[in-house]
Amino acid sequence: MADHDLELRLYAWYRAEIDDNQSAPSELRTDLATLAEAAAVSRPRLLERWRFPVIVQLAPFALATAAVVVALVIGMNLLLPRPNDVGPSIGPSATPATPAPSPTPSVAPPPVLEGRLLFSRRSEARGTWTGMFTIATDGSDEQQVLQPGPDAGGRWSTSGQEIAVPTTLPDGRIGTAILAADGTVLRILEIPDPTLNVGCTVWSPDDTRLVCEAWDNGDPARRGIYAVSAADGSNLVRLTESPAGIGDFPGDVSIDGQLVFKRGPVDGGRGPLWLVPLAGGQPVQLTADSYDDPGRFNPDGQLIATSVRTQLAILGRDGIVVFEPNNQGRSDFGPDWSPDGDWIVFSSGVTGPFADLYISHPDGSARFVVKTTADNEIAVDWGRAP
Amino acid sequence: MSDKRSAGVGSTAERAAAFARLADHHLDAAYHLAQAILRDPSEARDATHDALVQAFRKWSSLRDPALFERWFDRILVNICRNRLQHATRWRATDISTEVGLASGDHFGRAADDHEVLGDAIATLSPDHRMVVALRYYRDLQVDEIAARLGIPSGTVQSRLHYALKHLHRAIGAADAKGTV
Repeated sequence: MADHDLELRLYAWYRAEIDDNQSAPSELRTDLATLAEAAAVSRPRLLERWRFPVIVQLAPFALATAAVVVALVIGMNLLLPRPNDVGPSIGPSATPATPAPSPTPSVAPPPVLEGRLLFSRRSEARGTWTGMFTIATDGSDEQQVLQPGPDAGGRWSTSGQEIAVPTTLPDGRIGTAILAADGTVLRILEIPDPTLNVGCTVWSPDDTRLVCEAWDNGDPARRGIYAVSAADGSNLVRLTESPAGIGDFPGDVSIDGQLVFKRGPVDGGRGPLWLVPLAGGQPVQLTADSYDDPGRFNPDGQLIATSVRTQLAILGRDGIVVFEPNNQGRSDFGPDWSPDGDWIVFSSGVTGPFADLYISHPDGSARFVVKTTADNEIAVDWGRAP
Repeated sequence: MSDKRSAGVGSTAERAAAFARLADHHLDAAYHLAQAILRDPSEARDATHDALVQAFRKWSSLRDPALFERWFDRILVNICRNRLQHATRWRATDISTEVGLASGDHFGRAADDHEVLGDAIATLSPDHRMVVALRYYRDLQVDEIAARLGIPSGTVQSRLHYALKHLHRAIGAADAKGTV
């Protein structure tokens, strides 16, 4: 097909897809009228009248102002540099400005926390993946983990000794590589199936099994979540059958052997969370609402961390929201738990795809930035120190 | 206040009214563009809402209200890009696009031509999806797209080239499977 033919098809596709005669949703005009009216009256009224997302987006200004006031009160010690405070950030707890003891909790230095973070970094300026890295929770000791294949998020094993990442096999299919923390390839998992692509990153609590996103290029009906032996890729077991046009994306396995996963568009879009036993069984829909992340269990398996739009959400095992941590006017996503379950780590950005890693308690308190960079830090996973 | 005046001039009420007037005039087109990029009505609504808020906050920085449409579109497409990036952040591009794409994996056997092209567009990267929408939905020329995205024209041309190449591969794979 010539470019010209394709261009004609594209014009026709958009004409059919988008009805230019259709008005924008009426609530947008209501929002616009409310915004203009409230702004014309007073700024405090603007804050009162706008619904939550707008308040959240205006919050950085209030927080930044508060940070300045706090800084003036505390004194010049705030001017001392911090090793991981390399750029501007918003919110008093996001800008702990001195390693010295402080009477204000929001400016205290970040605590030293167990474990190590694994994350992927993308340079949006260049439009390329920079790679996968590990870093201490205070932002120090960053090390690159060389990947033997495509740029994708990896996951620590429960023990913190190994990392599972997708890789490209000699025959072109997607498989799984198991790495040491320094990136050394320990083993490539065999796929006991001639046509299935099997990318595994989610470990079982005892590290004996890996949960995988799998698909067959010749048979869309085989798409779903599978589990394999973490030792060699054997004992392939199918856990879910993705409905036509839908993808199942594994999230995490609880201590009692339940897999949480997201069922949504194949391009990774939002979808409700489901549960299925790792040992096999009938999947059960956990949430009526849709989420962006497929979910991460806390260590005792009673809470699930996920996100929707700009907001983290901590769900109970019944799918009900327990916490919605304050995002301080930022876009928070991709949470994972600390090994002790007392903290969560997540990506957080303000505008554009330039997220940094942040840590807070699950209720959003004691929030601090791990490291500020110009790039996009995503797919973070908190493992035990190797 | 005349719309010809600088956005930063006038009382708060005048500035707000001017913004509301221009934004209302452009609202339908903005929502449709968000739909063309995001392909999801609720996502498009949220993106347009976010763009309204951001634009209002930056309103005083717009020197020439005559450029409102281009200025607002730039805010909107950045938000759409962020949302696309956010939605696909977990899945590697290699897995979600290239592999599935080369195989035609995303295309159902009974899919018609419209669905095949829609599925192919869905596999474009956020950058490519935006230039394709601006070019073939908005029917903008390369330099107009460049102005809205804040990138050089050459980059737009390059992205269009690779986006079309990508779509050719996707549709070709679907054709090979007899789905068109």
